[in-house]
Amino acid sequence: MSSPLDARLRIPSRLVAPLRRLALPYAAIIFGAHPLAGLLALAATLVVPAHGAAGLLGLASAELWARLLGRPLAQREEGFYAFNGLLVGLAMGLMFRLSWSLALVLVLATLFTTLVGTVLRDLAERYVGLPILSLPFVLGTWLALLAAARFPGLEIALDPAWALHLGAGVLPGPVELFLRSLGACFFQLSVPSGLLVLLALLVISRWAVVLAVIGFSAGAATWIALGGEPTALEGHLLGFNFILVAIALGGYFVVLSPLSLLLAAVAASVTAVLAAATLGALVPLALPVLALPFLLATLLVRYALGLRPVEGALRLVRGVPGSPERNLTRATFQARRYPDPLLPVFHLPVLGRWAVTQGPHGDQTHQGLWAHAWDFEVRGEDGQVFHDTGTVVKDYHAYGAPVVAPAAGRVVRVVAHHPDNPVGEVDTVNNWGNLVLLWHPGDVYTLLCHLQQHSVVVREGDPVALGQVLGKVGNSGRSPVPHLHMQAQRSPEIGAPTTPATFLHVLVQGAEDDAPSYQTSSSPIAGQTVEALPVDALAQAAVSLPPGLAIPWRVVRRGVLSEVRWLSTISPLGARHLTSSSGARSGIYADLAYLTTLDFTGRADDLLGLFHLGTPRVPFLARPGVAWRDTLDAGPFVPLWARILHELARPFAEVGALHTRTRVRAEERGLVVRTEVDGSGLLAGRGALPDVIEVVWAPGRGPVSLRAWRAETLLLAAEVTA
Amino acid sequence: MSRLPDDPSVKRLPYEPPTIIAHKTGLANKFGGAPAGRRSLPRIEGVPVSELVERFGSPLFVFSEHTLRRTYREVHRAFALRYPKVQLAWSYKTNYLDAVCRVFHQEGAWAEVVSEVEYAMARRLGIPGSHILFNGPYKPEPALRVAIEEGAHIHIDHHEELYTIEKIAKELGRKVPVTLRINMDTGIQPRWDRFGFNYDNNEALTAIRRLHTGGHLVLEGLHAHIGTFMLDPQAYARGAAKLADLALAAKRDTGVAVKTIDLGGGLPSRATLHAQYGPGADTKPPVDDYAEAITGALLAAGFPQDELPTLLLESGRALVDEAGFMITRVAGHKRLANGTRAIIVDAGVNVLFTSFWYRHDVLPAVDRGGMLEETVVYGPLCMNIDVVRPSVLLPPLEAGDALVIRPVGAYNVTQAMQFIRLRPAIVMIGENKEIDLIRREEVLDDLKGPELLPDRLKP
Repeated sequence: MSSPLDARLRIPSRLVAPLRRLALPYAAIIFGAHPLAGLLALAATLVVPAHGAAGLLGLASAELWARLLGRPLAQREEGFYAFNGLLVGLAMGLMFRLSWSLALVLVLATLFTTLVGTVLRDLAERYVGLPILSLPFVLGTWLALLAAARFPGLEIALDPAWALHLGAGVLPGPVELFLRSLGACFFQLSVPSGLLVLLALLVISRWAVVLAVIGFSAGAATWIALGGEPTALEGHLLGFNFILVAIALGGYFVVLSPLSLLLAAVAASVTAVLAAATLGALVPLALPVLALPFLLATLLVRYALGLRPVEGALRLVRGVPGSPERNLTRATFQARRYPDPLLPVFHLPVLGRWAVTQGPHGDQTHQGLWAHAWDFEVRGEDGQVFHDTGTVVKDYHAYGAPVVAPAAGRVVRVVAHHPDNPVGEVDTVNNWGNLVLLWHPGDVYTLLCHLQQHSVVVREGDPVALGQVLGKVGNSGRSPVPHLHMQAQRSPEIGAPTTPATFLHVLVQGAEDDAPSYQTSSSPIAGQTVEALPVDALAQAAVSLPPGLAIPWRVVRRGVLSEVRWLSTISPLGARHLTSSSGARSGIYADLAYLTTLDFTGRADDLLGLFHLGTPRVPFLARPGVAWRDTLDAGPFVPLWARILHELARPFAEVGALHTRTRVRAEERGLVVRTEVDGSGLLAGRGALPDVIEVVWAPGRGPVSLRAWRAETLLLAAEVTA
Repeated sequence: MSRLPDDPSVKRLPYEPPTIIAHKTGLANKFGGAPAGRRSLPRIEGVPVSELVERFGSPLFVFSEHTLRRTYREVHRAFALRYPKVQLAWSYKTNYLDAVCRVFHQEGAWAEVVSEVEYAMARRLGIPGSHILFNGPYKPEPALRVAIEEGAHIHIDHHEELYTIEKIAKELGRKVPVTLRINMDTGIQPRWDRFGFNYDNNEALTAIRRLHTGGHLVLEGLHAHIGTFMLDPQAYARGAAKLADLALAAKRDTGVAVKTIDLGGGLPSRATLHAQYGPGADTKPPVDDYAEAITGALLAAGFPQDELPTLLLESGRALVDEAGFMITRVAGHKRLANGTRAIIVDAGVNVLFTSFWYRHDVLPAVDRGGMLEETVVYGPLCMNIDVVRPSVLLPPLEAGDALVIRPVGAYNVTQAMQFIRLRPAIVMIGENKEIDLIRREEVLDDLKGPELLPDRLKP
């Protein structure tokens, strides 16, 4: 999203970093991280130069205090202290004439703001898990205002009339009021300021503009419907609270959806009531409400939403939030592509290929508090779970197969003395039969039940490694035929209520599917067969991009030869990237099971972009016939207008997604990864997207060849030259 | 010949000289009552034998793709359920028909080859070097060089081979991963000690130390081929335990963890050996018992969890034998001098080499009734040794009747020879019952093509 500012505006490179530092706090106030938006907002504050100057002073001194107080670089770089100081400066600048006294008050008020920010942020992060947004600013400004009443050196100022009249009356009343409220986010009341802030918001996010309109309309309508004075919206600067609350809850903290739009409207209405209440409550102190209604409404709702046991349709944004579009894109694609970070993850507790005979919420016993469990059995080629007659436990394929630790941990409980039931009989007294209960890091437990009598080979207290043999599948407890029952739970009692969990790296085959498909994380259901990803040494040696690897390509595109060079890099924090001499860049993630590329930036037809499409993820397997699907954001591969179109439509329908289907085969050249790209989910901008991409990986060398076709015509052929 | 009028209502039976035959039916034997009922095999995988004979003639090898795949999956499942890293390698010498190899490769098998010829066969079928185990006591240096360059897994059989590979590694300037072949006493007879280095007298560990000290080779795996048609799973357990012990000793000595342990082949099929009393299908332990023995020994050996070696298996016979059928037709029949009934069929030991080892199941395609009688089945060769079954209970058969001989999937195709007769056609019945010719019947040029006749001898 953050386009390279320097490239567009041709700013000398030594000025880029300071300009970013200056611009980002401005953008942060309206939930943005775009330098251009920050500069537009800066311009908005400079419509009345004295206001802008006070803001800059607040920003600079807060930044300085943060540095002197030794705040961590990461917190300063995200602009937290700077934007709170900036807001103090802008608010004070609106109310008082620019003077040395004001400057002194600002420098001290920003110190207080920074201190409050430091302490509140620490407490909130530690105990509440919420960002405190501009709360330090509200407290800091109140302090300055309360103090100012005692210091007559501060001269109260009114907005210059020329600024208020600039552009007034040109636009319809409500629109003008909306623009002035937008400007009020920066304590600027003129129409041109409002327009500049609107532009800034447009640069950050188109959806933020829509949310701003929704929030303002809902808040103002509620205010007026309840008989509130329309002039108070402007006079007491209430309107911007509605706007900010709508952006925050409609798309910044909550993933954009039809329901989040409704939430934005309702929250803005509630904010109107909160505004009236706080306005009244603060009358005795003669303090303005500032951003308090917005803060109260946003933090309350955000906290309450976080307490739900099940997310439902209103999904909270995971990780560091970005623009509404970005959050939605991330939620749409990453949530689907990678395991839910909140779920405990395990590997299969068995070896080989197993049939899931009952999954979570199964129709037999996996219900209610014990819904999240799996039963595993083995089916032969004839579809039966036994050979011969199936009248004795030894006839069952599963009987006697090893049970292995699904994750590293420690043995908590072992029961091993119950006899195996004859086929068809159950022991309802010792429901769980012979079992091993394991503790795993993260305080999650797994229970593996119905094991064979005296087959357990670990003891209570033993540490276990992932995949270590624990015992054998048996038929003890409430088990009519030999099978393994596994469940995850949050407490160490035998048969405690279950908790949702997921399995990593499995080949899943449905009852009707012809080919098994690889899934990075899977919660298999009854009727599916599962098998741990068979990691292949050839694939592991080939599908590798070790840091420092340089890949020189020779590319032939429409008969034109060109050369490009990629470099695999790693940051001090471990973030890995492929950077191309063309300027394009793609993230890499790789572990012992698979490699995947993330977040491509660059031109749509860049070789690295095709590589990103052709490597949605590559598990280290070489078994032909295994296929896997992925869903990628088409954003970087379509023109800007098509991308914006997709982003606008995405909350209502899943559009702008590229569906891929990938297979591998081992060949003489190495591992051939063939990906079919399905662009039918695009509304527009399909352009020259390829429909088949083939990447060849050679052991010890990484990618050595890339070919892309569209309608069976070769679009591009690239070979590594070294 | 006949003076009888041609009366269509009278069916003439072929003449058979009169004999006296003792009725054996119903006699109690070791297994209890009467022998199993009359058996015939009118269809193979649902396809009528008569249709196969009509379309492709006889003799005819028939392979069932369904049985190939099912057997592979059963064997693979038995091991994969019990051990996390299992890789089967298809033993080419057992049957290197392209179609058969491809079925196994599609199922995920690597290739195990024992000569440069077999190596080339695997490469021709698109198998990368890294999925080939290059085994065998004799590998010419040029072949070794190619295999090393292509990343194949080389199994060293003797010291001279070790030195040759070391020389190649030195020239290539890189370390070459190799597997050592080990022989040992696993408590069975005959003891196979001709392949590789001996475990029990410490020759193996000495060879490992030598290999490590040389500095050009890295010990990647250990391999043992403890015997063939092994009917005792515990022999494998002992073999696996000894290999695991050697691997751990090698780790202690050299610091290098062994990545693969290869238990070779030798798993039996359901065929019956001449020396066996009961039918092979009943005496052969299930493959699960072998899997339990081998994986149990490896899991109990004390490898650290992250250094568990990959288990390689080079099964041949157990995977392919039951998928192969031979259809043959009766050419004639006779009474031997002692009154024993005999038939002559058109497939003999020239194409059924395993007749020397197995009591093949010989079944008529159609049983038209009549008394079962001990019968000698002779092949078509003008050689006294050409006996397919010295004695088998068969109903009366006429010239032209089809018989099915099974299991013949292992070793017969690869060891069939052009002795007196050319080699027959081979078909495969696919999963959807489609029938494909996978090797045509040979013509004279296939035999005589490579020959060169000096001008002076030309007719």
